[in-house]
Amino acid sequence: MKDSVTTTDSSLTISLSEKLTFEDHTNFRELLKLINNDIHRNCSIDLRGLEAIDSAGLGMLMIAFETAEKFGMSFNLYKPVGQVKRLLEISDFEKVMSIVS
Amino acid sequence: MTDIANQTYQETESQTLNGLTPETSESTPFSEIPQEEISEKLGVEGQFQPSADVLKEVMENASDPELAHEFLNKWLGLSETQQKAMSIIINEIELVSELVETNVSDISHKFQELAKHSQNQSDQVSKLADAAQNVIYQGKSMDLSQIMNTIDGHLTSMIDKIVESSKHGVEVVYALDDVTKDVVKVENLIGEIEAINKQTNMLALNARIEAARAGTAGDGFAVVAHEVQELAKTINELAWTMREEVTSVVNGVRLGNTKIKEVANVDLTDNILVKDTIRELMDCILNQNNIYSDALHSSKETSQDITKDIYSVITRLQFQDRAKQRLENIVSTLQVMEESVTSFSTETRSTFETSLTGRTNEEDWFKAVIKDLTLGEMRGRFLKAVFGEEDAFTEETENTVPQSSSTDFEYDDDSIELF
Repeated sequence: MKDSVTTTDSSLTISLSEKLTFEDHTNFRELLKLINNDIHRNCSIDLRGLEAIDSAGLGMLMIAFETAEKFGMSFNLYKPVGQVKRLLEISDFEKVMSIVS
Repeated sequence: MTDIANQTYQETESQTLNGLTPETSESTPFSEIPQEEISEKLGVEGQFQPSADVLKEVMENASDPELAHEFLNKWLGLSETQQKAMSIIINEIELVSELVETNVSDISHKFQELAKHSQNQSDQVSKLADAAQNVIYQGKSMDLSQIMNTIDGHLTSMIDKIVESSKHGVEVVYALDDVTKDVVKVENLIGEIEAINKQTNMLALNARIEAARAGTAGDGFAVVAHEVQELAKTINELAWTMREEVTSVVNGVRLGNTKIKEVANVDLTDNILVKDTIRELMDCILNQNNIYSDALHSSKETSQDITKDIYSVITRLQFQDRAKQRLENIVSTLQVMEESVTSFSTETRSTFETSLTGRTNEEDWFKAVIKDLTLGEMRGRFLKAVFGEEDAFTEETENTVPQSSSTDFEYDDDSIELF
């Protein structure tokens, strides 16, 4: 997994690319620390560049959502594509969190 | 056949009237003989009225009484033959009526059975169509869409649990990572305790050395230094024990962390994607089932149409009642005619007593009558009724039946009898 983070005064955007699997759990925890604060009001995870995800990756996205929710941040997954989009649809993620198509 | 029959009839009439009109052409039918000619031959004027008084008058006033007598005798013979012919025609009509009634009744019965079978078939197809749409599961009827929704619900629940398990797996890994880090801190703290204890032990050793140098005055201090040294030794043992225990905990945590990572690392995306596969398969089953259902419904409607058509045919078969009534009316009319002819013959015979025998040879006329009868068995009954026997005459008449007549029927006599 590769990531890049952009911030504005109120928004945090984390862009992920390549693959998000269990192997990335340590790096992903560093990204969770960015959410785990009271600085930003909005958090968006940009999935346009993410090509694939496994079940642990889905679990990590769910942890990111719950972390943001815990701190009262609005949260969304931004434009998932391909296999990532299909897995999010089958798993009914849109019933839990906002997914921007 | 009609032309042949007419021709035969004309020839027969000509032969019958030969005595009356010897000079008339053989091909001239009776109906075409002028009334004046008949009146002239009979010696009477005006329209011929065959009543007893008129016949008597004819006999009395005829210019040629012998000729009139012969004509009257022939006419009486013809009348007797016609009585017999009408009688057998009445019998034949009654026979036909009974035959039609029996067969139409049989046909109607068969059609009713057919309608029942068709209705049963329609009901069975209807049940089959319903069964194709519904499945009995745990005593409850469920249609396929409900089954699909149930399966979809179970799959969704399973996928929720997979995602939830994956999330917890990662959270446990994070927690164990934290524990591992904390345990390392504890190990470090134990190391610090050991270092402090080592310094304490060194200090106690130095204190004992200094106490020994001080002599007797240092004895008390030496005891304290010894106690401190023993305390440091005890602390060192305790620290060692703690290190062993912590090391054991660390090993357990690290093993647990490794195992949970192995579990969390299992990719369950294929299990999630199974939902897609099952949904596609169910769509195929549903689609195929719809095709079967449509075919079964169509078959059911066709069966219902057939049943309706059969009942319509049964209704139409009731024409037989009307036909029977008409035949009964015809029979009644023929009976009246037969009675009239019989009455007239009796009256004529009574009027002229024994001078008229009525026994004339009407075989030619009767041959013409039965010539076109295509059923040999029917022809036999006619001959038996008129002449009291059938075989000899049957052979003769069969030979005289024109071969072409069979071509005018859809079925020839043998075919009908076989049928």
